[in-house]
Amino acid sequence: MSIHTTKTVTRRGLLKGATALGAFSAFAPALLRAGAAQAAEAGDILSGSHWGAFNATVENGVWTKITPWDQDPRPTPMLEGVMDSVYSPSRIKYPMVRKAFLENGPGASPENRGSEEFVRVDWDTALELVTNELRRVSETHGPGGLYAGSYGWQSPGKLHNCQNLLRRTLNVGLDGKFVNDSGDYSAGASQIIMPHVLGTLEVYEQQTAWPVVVENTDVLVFWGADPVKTNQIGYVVPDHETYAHLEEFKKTGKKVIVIDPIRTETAKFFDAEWIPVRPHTDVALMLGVAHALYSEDLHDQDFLDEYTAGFEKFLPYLTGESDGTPKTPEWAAEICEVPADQIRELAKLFSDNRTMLTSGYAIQRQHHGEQSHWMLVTLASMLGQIGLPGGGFGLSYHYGNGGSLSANSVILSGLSDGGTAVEGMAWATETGAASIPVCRIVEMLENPGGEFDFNGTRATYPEVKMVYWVGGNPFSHHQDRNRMVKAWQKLETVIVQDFQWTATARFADIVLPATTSYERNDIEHIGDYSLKAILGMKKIVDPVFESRTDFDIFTDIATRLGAGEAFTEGKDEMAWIKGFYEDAAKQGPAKGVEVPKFDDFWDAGVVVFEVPESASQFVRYADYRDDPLLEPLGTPTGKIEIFSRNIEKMGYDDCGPHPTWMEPIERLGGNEPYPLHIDSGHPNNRLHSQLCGTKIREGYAVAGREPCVINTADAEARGIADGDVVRVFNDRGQVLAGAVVSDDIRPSVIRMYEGGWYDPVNAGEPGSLDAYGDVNCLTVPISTSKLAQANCGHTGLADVEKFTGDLPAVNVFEAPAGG
Amino acid sequence: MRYLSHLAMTVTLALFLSTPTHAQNPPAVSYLDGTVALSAAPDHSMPPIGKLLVTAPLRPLSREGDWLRVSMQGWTQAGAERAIYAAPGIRVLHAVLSSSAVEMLVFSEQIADPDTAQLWTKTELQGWIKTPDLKPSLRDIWARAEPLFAQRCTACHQRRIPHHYTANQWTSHLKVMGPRTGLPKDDQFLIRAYLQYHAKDADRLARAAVQ
Repeated sequence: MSIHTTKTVTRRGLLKGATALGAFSAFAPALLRAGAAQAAEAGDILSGSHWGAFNATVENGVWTKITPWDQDPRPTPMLEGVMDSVYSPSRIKYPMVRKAFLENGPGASPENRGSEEFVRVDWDTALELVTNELRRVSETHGPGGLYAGSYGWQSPGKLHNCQNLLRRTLNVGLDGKFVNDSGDYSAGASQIIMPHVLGTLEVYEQQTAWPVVVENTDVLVFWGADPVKTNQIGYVVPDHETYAHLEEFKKTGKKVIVIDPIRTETAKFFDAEWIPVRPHTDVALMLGVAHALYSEDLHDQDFLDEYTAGFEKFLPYLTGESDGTPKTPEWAAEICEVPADQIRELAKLFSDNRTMLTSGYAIQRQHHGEQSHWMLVTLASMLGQIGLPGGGFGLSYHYGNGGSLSANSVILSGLSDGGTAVEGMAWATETGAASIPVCRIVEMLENPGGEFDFNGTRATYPEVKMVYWVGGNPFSHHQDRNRMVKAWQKLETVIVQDFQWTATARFADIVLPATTSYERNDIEHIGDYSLKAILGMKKIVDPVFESRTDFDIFTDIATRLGAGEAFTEGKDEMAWIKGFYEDAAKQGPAKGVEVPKFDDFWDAGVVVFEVPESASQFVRYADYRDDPLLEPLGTPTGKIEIFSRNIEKMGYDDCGPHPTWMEPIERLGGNEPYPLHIDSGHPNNRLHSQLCGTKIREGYAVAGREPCVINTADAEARGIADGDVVRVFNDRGQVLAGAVVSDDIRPSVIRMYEGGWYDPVNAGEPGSLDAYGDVNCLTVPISTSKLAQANCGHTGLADVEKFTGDLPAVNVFEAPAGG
Repeated sequence: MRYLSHLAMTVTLALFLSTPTHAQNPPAVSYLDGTVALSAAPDHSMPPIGKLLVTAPLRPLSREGDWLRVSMQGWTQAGAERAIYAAPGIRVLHAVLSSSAVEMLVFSEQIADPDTAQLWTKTELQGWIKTPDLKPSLRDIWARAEPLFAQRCTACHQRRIPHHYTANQWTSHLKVMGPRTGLPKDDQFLIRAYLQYHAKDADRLARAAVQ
């Protein structure tokens, strides 16, 4: 059921739609009253998630069946886990407080976090504790004492945006006195370097439309990108449009190359040419291709002259004139294990054909990760196809279904963070940085008062005593778990608000049970880039156990802080949702879109917008190519900066003024403390750590553990058979995993997806064996460089052995003691 | 060379045309709050020759009914004279002109930006605007910009810190993110200007504005 804006919406059509909702329509009138929305006792309800829009069947108030939205072109099998997340044993049922904290107060035996039992309390007790702690820490330690840079893939929905709700609470209730974060764990390096190179973030921006690529691109390269895998999810509700376009491209039979240590889902889909590059050496490979282009005069000097700045300063490095090392294909081959002849062939192939170089985030989540995409853009500049249909580079085809067609939609706002002026953060200079690069949290805890560099500035770490985390699982996404466990012990108070017992919740002092998205009403777009539709995310069932919505919980806390009215602005759940919609609807006339009335929209469940013809012809950077002077890029020169004077001025030893190959702290063929590289890519059957606590895990777990893919030869050398439980280890940690022996991974590389739930056998004891398989027990905690201060989740070596000891039970998917 | 001789000629022309009153006692600068069309004459029947953007620093010269004749100083990059920016190398856009209107610009000093070696020329623009909303200081404009930024740019993502990016980078960010606010174009320009004047290079921008 949906409303399409392609036709004029008539009252009759809408009424017909309402009838087609069947049993549910009997309840529809109740939903139209702000504040009176109720879950249905029975019927089919349209709603949405990070995994797509879906219909939920409810019987006797229980959600019994999930089916994809009929307009989803390629639903993900993960939907089954979406339903299970409501009822799984990992659900947090009641407000809980760690026993020692309840008895002895803040800071009581922090070493027992993660192992000590929890005590059930009522909501009033829990919220009084939370409010008192917010006040106490703020008054005792000042604004630097509280960290609320709560980060992670919270559920979609414009209202129950829990991280914003937290900041809103603190902005209106504590005068904005808290430490925030900046950047993210996904694309932290690229989103800092790309503005220096192209003026913009690149990694979260619409791509040349897929139909243009299908028609014009001759060679499609996926350089550390696996869009078949990663477009299953969306930050809003995904449209899954990419898949149809990939099918179209496949039908043309044109060349697809996958450069990756793993024969990815995308490689299999296209039956692509697979170049199993040695991990962490992509910059060297790109330099080798660049050298071949230059030495064989295959580069586009006219493009470099007209549209880029500083190639002449990069050139002496490429030729070796400046450092004595020509970056020849032979030099590159030695590092990246792609034969020199093949590197030359790539140079010729790329320059002879319309080539689209797409890349994902993996190669920038590495030590010196800034260099990867900078060098990729430099390579694309030498090919001279940026701004041409189907040429150039793309850093977001793998994310948010980038390249799917942008609809002519009205756009929802959402709940703001409640802060009024930027000047409100003036306290920052006195007590330390008001905002820290998100992945530096452990360093911040270890080193209060310590200085750090970041993108040309220097700031001081505040002395944080309390953390409030919502909508995220740092005990999954942060690197070097054991170091983190220790740093967390420095905190006096940890509050976690979630709907399931993640490792982060287990390591908290106060745990507040939130509802899932499916137990509340909300509103969201379908399509991260396409903005194809607006979806009513209707409540499917009433909150289970004692869970409450994020909006309710924070309304209560804000009220206790004396700022309830400022927080709610006098509006309840449905009034806010209606407000967002009606605010967006006002854009209709200017955009020539007839937007249905809210009640009609809510009744139908979704409104789908028309895609204008121009959307299918969009070419990224065509405007710049057309008029570089009047459409300048946001760089100092207004051009693509192969050499950045601004970065040069920062004088960093780990990020120079042009793309450079620098040895990482660990890599195969370089500094090699252990023999196997760990590929910790995004999972195929989860969203980071989300849904790990649901029954879909049973479909991929091996011997009840997180899978570890290992090459046949490496397995054989270690006496490991498919299905064995193995121990993966290095100096940073040790985890159990289930071996998957395969030739879809190159030798000397193992793959464990990030997001496996951390399950220490002896929680709180640094170095404890992890019984399930959280790969971030093994990855390196350093930052990419002083420039971006981003994480290096794709850097790290380990070894694997068959596990022969007494097999510890996996406990992380059940509630902890007392819970 | 051709460009320089053209420049010399316009400079001479400008000196010849300038009126003694303004030269002795120039009126105070006000800042445009909004986007307005710029016309060559106080006349509706003629198509506009360009537009002035929010925060454009204007000196009122004369009035005719609802129309105000204004003068604005800014900087253009050699070859892109249709775009007038706040400072050399800092692309805070104050005016966009039609190709033909470039002829009306009065050029003066030319400098090479030390960071990029690009040539920038100081320029003065005159024209007519209708019932403009002028504010005595930029602070008066920020009073409207701040809540707009705080409310509309924190709904989908974490609040961005203005001084984490340069003024030029903010142009590119707003080009992408501006349309996603669903706000009218004028409000997107307002947010952009606010972020640019609070950017990493805001000090350099302020110094250039004083000069």
